[in-house]
Amino acid sequence: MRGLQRRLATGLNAVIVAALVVGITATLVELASRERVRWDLSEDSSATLKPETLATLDELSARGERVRVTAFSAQARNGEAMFRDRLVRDFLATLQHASPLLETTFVEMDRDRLTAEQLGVDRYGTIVVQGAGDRVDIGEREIFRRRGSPGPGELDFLGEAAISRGIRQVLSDRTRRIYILSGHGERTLFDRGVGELQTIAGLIEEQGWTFVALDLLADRRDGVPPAVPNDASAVMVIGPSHALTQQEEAALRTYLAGGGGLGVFVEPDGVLPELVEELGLLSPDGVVLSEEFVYPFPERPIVHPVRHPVTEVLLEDRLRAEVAHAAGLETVPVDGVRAAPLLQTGRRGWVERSAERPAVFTPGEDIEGPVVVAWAVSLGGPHPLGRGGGRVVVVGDVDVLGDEVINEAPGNRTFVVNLMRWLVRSDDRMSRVGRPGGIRRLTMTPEQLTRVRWLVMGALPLVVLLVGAVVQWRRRRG
Amino acid sequence: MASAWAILKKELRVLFLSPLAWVFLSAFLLLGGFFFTWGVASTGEASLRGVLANLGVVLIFCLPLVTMRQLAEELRAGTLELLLTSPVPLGALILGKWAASCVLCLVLLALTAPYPLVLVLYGDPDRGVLVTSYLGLMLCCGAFSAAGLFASSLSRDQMVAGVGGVLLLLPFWLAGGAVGVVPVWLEPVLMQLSFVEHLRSFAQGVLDTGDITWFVCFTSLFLFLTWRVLESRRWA
Repeated sequence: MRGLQRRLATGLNAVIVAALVVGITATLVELASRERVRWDLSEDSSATLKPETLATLDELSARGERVRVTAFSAQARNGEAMFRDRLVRDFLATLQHASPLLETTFVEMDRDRLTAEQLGVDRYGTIVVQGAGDRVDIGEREIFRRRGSPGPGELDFLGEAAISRGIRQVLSDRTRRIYILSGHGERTLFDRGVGELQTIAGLIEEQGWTFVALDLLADRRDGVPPAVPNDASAVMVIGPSHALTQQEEAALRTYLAGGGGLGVFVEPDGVLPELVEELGLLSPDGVVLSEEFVYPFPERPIVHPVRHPVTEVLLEDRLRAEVAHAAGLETVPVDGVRAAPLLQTGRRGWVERSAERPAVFTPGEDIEGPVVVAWAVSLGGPHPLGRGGGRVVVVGDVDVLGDEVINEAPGNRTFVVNLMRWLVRSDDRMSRVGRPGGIRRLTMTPEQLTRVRWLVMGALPLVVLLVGAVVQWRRRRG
Repeated sequence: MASAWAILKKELRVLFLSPLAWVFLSAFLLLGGFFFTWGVASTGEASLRGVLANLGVVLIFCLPLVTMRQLAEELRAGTLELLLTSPVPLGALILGKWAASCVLCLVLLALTAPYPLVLVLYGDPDRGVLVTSYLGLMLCCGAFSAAGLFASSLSRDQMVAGVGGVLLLLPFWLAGGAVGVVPVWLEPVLMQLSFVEHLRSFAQGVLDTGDITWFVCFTSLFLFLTWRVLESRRWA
């Protein structure tokens, strides 16, 4: 009897202690999951939210709004469905960790038709953002972008920008609008296929801005002079090949006088708007070259950032911006116009004015370096257009925006986006702009794969087995 | 600590002098190699993400086969009573045996080094993600070893201990998959219990204190439960 009592007491004691330890462990796990700290060690910082997204979440917290993000799986017959779903799931998990006001759900479209029907979603890969009584649907084409040819090309995940923009849209009815001037042979951002400027188009959207085509002459109403729309945060003129009309120049002047932001990108053989020349910025004939160039491209001179809010991050993070086949830009002093260089070559750069190749600097004919290829201009009081404090950026290169250069030079994304942030007066958002997350691919021939297969499935286990056999043999002998 | 070290050395000697460890390593590498090349051939991705998830599943089934004998064999042979009455502290005994399994896992993971090397040779994998993925897998190994040791402490029969270990771990692996078919209030609990959910951040290249704590707590809890079971045997 006493033995039974002792066993019962010991057993009960063990159960109570075990229950206590389980309880303490559960509490510890819960506390740790609430007060978690995360270090993103990935090279692309793919699990770290961008400053724009964090700013959006700050706004969410400030307003105390709850937002629900429901993502639907990609179509299974698509060979990339697994990657697409995984990238979306990962991002939702990161987003969920970042804010308790966000509720994220991933829905397998084929398994949970009910949720799809309730939300009225009939397309695979759709993401629905709901909040503040509003809703934004984001299509798969806005979440992923393919670089290169179909097949084993690179897949960029743009979901962060798209979802962040969706959240901002449900919170606010006004987003910044960037107008892209057209009608003068300019380059376009509107080709969402494999286009030359699709990266920059994605970056603009990533900021939560929308870009809209602006044809000042075609869009005007009868009897009313052309004007830049009131909701324009900035107007971009990208590589015009022929001159703007006087009416268009006047519209841009009025816009600048009202404190607008104008970005002008010109090629060496392009046309600089008269308005820009009135501000004292001139583009001499010729191409900027340098003895220091980005090997193996002689027409890509090494350019150095000059300290300015736009280039601050480039200097701090030692990022290199690149231009290709650029025009040099000179200034003449104009009252009320404060021009600051953004990018310039070193002393070994020059403006090559002849067509001779290989090009060499010819004193008296070519323009000696350092040559400035990008200027930031602030307008002030004494200037006729200065009352609103307008801002102008002029870059002697269009390729700086192009997919090829922007994806190769580590600093071009940061330079171009910060330049636009300056134009739209988002000076507080100057930051480094990284590459979008995506899938990294292997380049492997079938023969190489066969060799790898033999190595990891054949040689490796066999060697281990042989070592084991030797150990056994020696043990039995010894 | 010295006792734990002595137990660890003895366990490693037993492990590596028996054919079990070598067969286990070879089988694991064969399966790992299959999953790796299959993943590379089917996705062309320069990442170990797919193969690591599969290796996790393989470990759930394989690791209890290593840990099953650690205490069950001692119980069956009657050597556990000797150990329990020896001056070796119980904690040192458990830690030594657990650490031996972990060392075996370390050897195992080290032998998979050709996988990332192949990725580096033929692609540009995210090295940060590779490091955190391996760290997550190592934490998994620690947790699996602790649960396997606990299962081994419950039975004299090695097979029962092995199958028990698998049955113990499997629900934790599958818990996340049940989300969507259980009541909504149960979903956060299942997510919290799921190995897969806690491995997600490691696979993304993120070190998350919440997930690290979960693995540490899971491991500590099962080591503690093993200690309680052995303690109760001492007084039974």
